[in-house]
Amino acid sequence: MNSATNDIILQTNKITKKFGGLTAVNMVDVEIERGSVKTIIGPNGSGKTTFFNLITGVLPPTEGSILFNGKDITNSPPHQRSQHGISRSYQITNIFPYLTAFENIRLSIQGHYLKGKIKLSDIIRRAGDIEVLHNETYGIADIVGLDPVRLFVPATLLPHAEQRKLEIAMALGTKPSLLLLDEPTAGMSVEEIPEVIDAILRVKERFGKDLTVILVEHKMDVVMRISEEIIVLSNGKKIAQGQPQEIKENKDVLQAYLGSTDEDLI
Amino acid sequence: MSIETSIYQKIKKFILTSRIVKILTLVIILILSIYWAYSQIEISVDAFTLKFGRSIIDGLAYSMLLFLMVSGFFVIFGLCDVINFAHGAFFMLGGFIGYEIYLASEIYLLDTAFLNNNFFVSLLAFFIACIGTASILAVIGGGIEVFTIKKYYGNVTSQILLTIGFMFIIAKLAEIIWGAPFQTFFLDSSSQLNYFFLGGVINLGTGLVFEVYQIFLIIFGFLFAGGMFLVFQKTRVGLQIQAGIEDAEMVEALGINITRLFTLVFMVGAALAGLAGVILVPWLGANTGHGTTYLIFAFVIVVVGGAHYGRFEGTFFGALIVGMSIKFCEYFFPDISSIIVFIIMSVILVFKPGGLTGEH
Amino acid sequence: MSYLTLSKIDKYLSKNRVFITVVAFLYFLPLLTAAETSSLRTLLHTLTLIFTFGILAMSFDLQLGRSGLLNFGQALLFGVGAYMFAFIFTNKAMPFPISLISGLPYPFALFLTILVGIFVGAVMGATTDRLRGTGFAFIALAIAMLVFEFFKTNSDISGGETGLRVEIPPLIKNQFTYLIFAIFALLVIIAFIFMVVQYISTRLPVNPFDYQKVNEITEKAEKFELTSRKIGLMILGLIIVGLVVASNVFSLFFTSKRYLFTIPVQYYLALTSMVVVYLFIQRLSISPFGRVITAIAQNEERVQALGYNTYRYKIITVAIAGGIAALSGALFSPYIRTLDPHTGLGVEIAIDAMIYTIVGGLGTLIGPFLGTGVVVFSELRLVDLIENIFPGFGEWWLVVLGVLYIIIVLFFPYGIVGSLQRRSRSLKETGRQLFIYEHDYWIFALIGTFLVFFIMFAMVS
Repeated sequence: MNSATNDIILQTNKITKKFGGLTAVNMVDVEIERGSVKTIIGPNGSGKTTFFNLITGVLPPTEGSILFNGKDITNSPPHQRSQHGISRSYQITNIFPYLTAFENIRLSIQGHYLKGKIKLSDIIRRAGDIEVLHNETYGIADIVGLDPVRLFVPATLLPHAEQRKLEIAMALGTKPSLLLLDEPTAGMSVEEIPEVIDAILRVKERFGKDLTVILVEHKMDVVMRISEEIIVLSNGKKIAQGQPQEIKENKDVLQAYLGSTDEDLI
Repeated sequence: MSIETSIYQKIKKFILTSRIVKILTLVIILILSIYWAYSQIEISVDAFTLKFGRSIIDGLAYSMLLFLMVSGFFVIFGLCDVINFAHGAFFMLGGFIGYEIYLASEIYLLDTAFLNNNFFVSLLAFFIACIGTASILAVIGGGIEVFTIKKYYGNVTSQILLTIGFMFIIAKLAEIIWGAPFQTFFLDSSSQLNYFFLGGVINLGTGLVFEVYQIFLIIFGFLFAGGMFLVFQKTRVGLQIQAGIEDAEMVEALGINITRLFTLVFMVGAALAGLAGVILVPWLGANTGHGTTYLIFAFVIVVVGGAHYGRFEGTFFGALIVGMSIKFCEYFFPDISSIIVFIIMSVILVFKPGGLTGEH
Repeated sequence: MSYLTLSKIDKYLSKNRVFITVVAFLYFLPLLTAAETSSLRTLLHTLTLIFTFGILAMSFDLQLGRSGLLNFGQALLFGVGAYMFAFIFTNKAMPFPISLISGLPYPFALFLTILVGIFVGAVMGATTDRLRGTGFAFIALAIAMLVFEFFKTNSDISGGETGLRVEIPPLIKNQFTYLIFAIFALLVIIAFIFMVVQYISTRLPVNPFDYQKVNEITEKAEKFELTSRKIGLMILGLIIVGLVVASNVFSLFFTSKRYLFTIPVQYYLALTSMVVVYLFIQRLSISPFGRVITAIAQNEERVQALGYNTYRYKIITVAIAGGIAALSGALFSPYIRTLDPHTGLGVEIAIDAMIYTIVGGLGTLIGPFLGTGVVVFSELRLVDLIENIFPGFGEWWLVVLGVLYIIIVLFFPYGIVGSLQRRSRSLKETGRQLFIYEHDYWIFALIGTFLVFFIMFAMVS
């Protein structure tokens, strides 16, 4: 393995996904450097979430391949990818609604702790007796800034911003080296957004080079604040990649965004 | 993009519908022409062809009957997401109510001497029985929905217990009134005229004998299926129901009064079960044990056809597969006739986990 | 070290008072019977059936209530156990592969049966790979129906219409087995008396109307120390119990009628199995494994994203449920004595298990057992009850049962226990206003259990 592949944590080769006649993701090549923070932007329906689903293995790609840490994971099931170190949060809050927030986080840590195996002792001993899980749960809750008072409330009763933070906490629990955040500020009020952004920045600061983050985001101020590089998708194709400043002035990008608005107007 | 996909889906729907209408017409024409050919030429028939012909006619008739019964179960299951355990009991009750109405109206028609042609008396009595049963069952089904099930949408376990409770009540009441399942009630033997307008057989010579009623069932079944497809594709309520089956959120988003739609669907479902029950009586009779037997078939057919997000065609073809295979096995492999449906279901589920038309 | 175990026992007793009370009561019951035709024996016989099906319902609940797996093939898991035992203990000559296991000693038979149940459960669970929800329910039903038809058509292994006659295993007819259980029952009763003494010495000194202090009771109970006076109290209690028991049990031991032991031993076997299964599932549900299956029931895709192989978890769940259901079948077979395909493998068993679970309350562990009690007891006794009140209307019992289900849904939409649990907070609040605290619940459990059994006893006799 040469040094070049070592620096690239995720590489997609001409990855394509078709639903019937619709091509959601079309020949996308992406290389993500280890430890970087990238954002994927694009108009609605440009295939961002599908792209995430392809990387996490929820959907099998129609064509193309995905390399993670130099290993081909194109056909690995989702749970194996999670074991390898890919983790994600969801656009629509996707937690265990009737378990407590604490339980939600503990489950995500436990997944990494058990290493995908089920031993007889795991059926008989108490989950509460495993101290490592206990401590790490508090640790992660602290990093993302979850309210410790509300940790033992069923997750469905938490306010929206707390649920979004819980979502990030669960994604962190599997000890990922690549964290995919799908619109972490979706559906939030203006006052709540900075809380989540701070949480993301805190996470990034805490793990530094060990954690690579890919974001999907709509709110441009959030994008500009967090990301080092931006990838633009439109109609399933990658149309631009570069520094935030470059992207702002890129003609294709403007075309894609304005073009779509025109269509909407008609 | 959203406009594109909706157009795409509409086109797909149209092709699918027209294909089915074509198939239906073809099958009807085929049956009629075969019948015509047989009546024209005298062919010597060997034992195999005899069995084969019988199994086909029996199977088709049985399939249509199952389809009638299951369509009610399917709309209730698909739209309201209620596994209606009482559906078999509705079906059985429909048989008995139809049986009683038929006999009563026959006596009434004969007393009033309104009609003195046996054929028309029988026809009218049967018609009254069908309409009467369907409306009574619609009232029962609607009543059950409004007074009990309505409060428990989303609570699956409560629905199961409720419908099982109604299943027990209906089944036992029927047993108290009409006796235990070992007695079967037939129309023509208990009617005053000792006659049924679709009774009798068609003899194609050399032992190839079909009951007229089976042919009627097949034609009626295909017509009914065609009618249902039209209802589902063209009318407002039908489109709403199909949309609701495929995506419950969409219906709410469109602002349709979902509560009333659910009540309506329950009434329609129960009425279809009752109607199927009446239609069964002249062929296989009314029996208090029919409820449980046919309930299992209903489950199997709906699963084969595509239980979740499935389409109506799935149920039709599911009924066709199940009915045909049962009758085929009764003639050719009697040993496995009671398990063939489960074998077929397993095979279909293994290859298409969501059933024929459903999504996984 | 010994102090540590003692304090652990203290902690356990003070935290599970209701459980200890009910279990002690159930273990105490057979010790009261000696007469050959006591109606208490009839009650024990009925209770054995309730425990047996209670285990089946718990197995069903483990799948549906905890991991969201609706299994219509439950009848097969039960039938595996029932037929394994029938094969082992029948006097009919069996064809080759089955004949190998005939006449196996009871403990091995039980072990083997549970193993086979686990295996069949695993096979059934393997279909969850591609099938979810109703798909799994019906493929399981299909497997169960195939086996059912196989047994129905092959009368050389199922005994045909008349069924297989199952001999009572020698171990069950043995007074020494009874003695072992009686000793175990005494141990449970000692634990109960210990708990009572502990309760009296920590609860009574506290002013019952002082909420603040009542809250400290649990802590006190954990620091409970044995003094000579308390030991004296316990010994006094034991002597009273001992006298009651001895007067009954010892007369039994000098009889030559060994069949007298069948009913109490079967009762103890079923009771012990149920307690073990109860504790096992209770433990399982708070284990790392149990937390994952609960999560799978709520959101499977997310569990996969967290790095769990959910497929494997589901297989293991169904396998465990299979082992438990097979245990239930193994208890049922020597109880019913004649096993035909309908009683051992019929679809009705799966529907019954579902009804028991739903009536009691899904996912509540004790609910399925209570539901089994309500339904089985109604099924057995409703005819007589109606016949007594409205002569000639006995055959309406199934209608009454149907109405009962509807009433249960109307008043307890989440099952009896489930609905009470959802209101537990307000119920507890009401209790507090009446100066009844959690520490005192066991007294009401005792009175309640006693009343329930007294009513059942009155109805049986």
